[in-house]
Amino acid sequence: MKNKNALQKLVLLVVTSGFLSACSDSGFSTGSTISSESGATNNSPSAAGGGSGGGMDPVISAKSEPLVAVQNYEQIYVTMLNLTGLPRVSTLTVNDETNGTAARRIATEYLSRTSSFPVGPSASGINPPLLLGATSLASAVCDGLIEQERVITDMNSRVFFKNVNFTQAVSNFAGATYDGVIQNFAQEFWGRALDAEELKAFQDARTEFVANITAGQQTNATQTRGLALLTCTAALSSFESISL
Amino acid sequence: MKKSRTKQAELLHRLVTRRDFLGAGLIAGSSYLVAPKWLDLILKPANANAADCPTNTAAMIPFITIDLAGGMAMASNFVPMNAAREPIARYTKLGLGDRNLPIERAFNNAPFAGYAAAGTDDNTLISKFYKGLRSKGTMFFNNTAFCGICVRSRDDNAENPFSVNGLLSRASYTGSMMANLGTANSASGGRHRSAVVAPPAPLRVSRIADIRNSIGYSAAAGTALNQKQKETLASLVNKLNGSQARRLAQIQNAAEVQNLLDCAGIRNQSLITSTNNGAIDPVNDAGLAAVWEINTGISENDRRRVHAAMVYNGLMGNSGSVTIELGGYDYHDNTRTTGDRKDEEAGKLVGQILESARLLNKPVFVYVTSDGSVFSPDSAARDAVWQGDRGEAGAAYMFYFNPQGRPAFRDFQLGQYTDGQVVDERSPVGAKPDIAAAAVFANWLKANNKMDLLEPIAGRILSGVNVNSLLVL
Repeated sequence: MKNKNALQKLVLLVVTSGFLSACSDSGFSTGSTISSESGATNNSPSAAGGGSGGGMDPVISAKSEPLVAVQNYEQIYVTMLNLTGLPRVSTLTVNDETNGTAARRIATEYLSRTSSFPVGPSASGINPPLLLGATSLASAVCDGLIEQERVITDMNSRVFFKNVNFTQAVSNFAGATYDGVIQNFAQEFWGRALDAEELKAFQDARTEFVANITAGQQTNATQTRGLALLTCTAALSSFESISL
Repeated sequence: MKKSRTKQAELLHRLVTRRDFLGAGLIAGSSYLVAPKWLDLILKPANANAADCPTNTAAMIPFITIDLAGGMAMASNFVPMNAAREPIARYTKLGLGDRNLPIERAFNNAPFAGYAAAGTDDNTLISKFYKGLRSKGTMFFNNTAFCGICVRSRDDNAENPFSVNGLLSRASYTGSMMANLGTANSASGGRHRSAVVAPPAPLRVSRIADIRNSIGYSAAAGTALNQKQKETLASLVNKLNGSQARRLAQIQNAAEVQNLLDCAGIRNQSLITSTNNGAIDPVNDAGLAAVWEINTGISENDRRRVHAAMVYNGLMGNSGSVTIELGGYDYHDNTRTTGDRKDEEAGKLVGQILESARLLNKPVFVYVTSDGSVFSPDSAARDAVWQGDRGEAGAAYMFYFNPQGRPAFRDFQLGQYTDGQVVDERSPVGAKPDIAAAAVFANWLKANNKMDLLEPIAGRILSGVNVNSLLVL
């Protein structure tokens, strides 16, 4: 069982274009081949296939070694929305006032960030702009998520921010409530519980957050939302959320 | 069976991420990718700090590549010579007529197709590239050296391994804020494939906001969090990424991915922590604005503003290598006018870069490449039309501007042409764009006093090549 779980936790790229091409309404690009030259940031057909550089086309083989891969720009966007349950706004109608404000903000941020995101699955697409862009986009999504959940007065019925009282000071977003929220993020975004290192990182972040606000701000409910935004953003934009 | 197939089809239609597939029990360790060998090369930065990240070597000379997509008449602007550095028998297929064509010597005595009529009216210059070069003034001429590289390449093809950006990155050439910039949706950021090794994924720039967004948070992270909170966020993301990358220990490229994440995280924390990331847009610099013909009334998406910003950030050391692709150079439409217009455009861009370097008092290497070339009818006319592709009559250009004075190039040309009006493939660079790229890289290393890096970075393709024959510096 342990080996099976470990295997399931391997990050895989399913190069089965039939699966992805069937998902036409998800808007995903079909499984992109990795060019022999590049870190596969180029999705163009001309880059696929062999070249004089001595690389080779990817093949699917049970004997092949697995690789880490990342989502492309559209996959990052759609995945973040799917994981949080927020509506997707067509980028063609992003400015349409009939779309929700949060959804428009998210779509606008996505459009401004596409050049930072990879177009192919290769992990060589990991660079500083990708991580900054993912965090910025995640913050727009999380902001929308907070907007959506904070109006749910039955706090325990929320999906993500259970028992977080957004009308109270940040001192109330602590202890078991805080731990419960971050564990929820891990389960919903990564499909597993936090490990000890991650838990400590989140707890240290809260400590640092509170230490860096004034005494007056500590009684301010705005900082509760700020902490919620920070933790949600970090979880949603971490590598495990944007990898394949 | 039909029912279960329908159900499976519906399920597949909804699946979007790994987690979905795992949850549906469809990829219990089924599909993998073969790792191409190049992955090892591109995922290992050259020099070291604790996370083995490329360090920002501020003293490295900025490097800007201009990729001209389609096959510019490179050897009909710069006039290639034979091995003795004398004109070849004729240039009748190169659209320049006989060997007595007027030559205009510039920089370190480099020959360009000169004035077709008596006098110095630039409108009569046969080389429209040279005309464009001069359009922003000639003050940078005294500090610039030029080398024409006689190299054949594949016509209308993105596979020519001309790009040196990976080599530059392995030499730890990176910017203080951004790694490398490019305009094209490719691994090199430009038209061509990388020689030897691919660079880190470039930031694709189509508007100034792309640069601005790459050096800080935007959306709610940018507006709802104060500076300290942004730093806390960056630190938390770093820690999570590090922890999650370490969970992938069993996977082949996990160590390299971890390094990429660590390095990107270090860079981003530095960017977020710094409250003075400096100017990224030269539009408010009067001198540069005049060179690039820009002002704040021009859209930030306008190509002039984008190119100006990319070059500015490269020259200032904010970014690493800069690659700008210009399209429309597959211009054999049985006229000369289209090609002349595009050649002038390319020359003007190079002139703008060199003049910008002069105004900023920065050195710069400018490398101009194209995929293949063109031919004219076998004609005595010095303005014969372009009829088709002819990659065996190709070339690349290397410019080096130094505000301290013109660099001492021992030659204006690498390789040579034959009397058949084609590249002489007997030279080390003649038939091999990757060797030509390595030659440019070697000269850049020489200018940076870093020749010790040539062998470890590019040694494997220079086996059997006399490296000294590639050096003009």
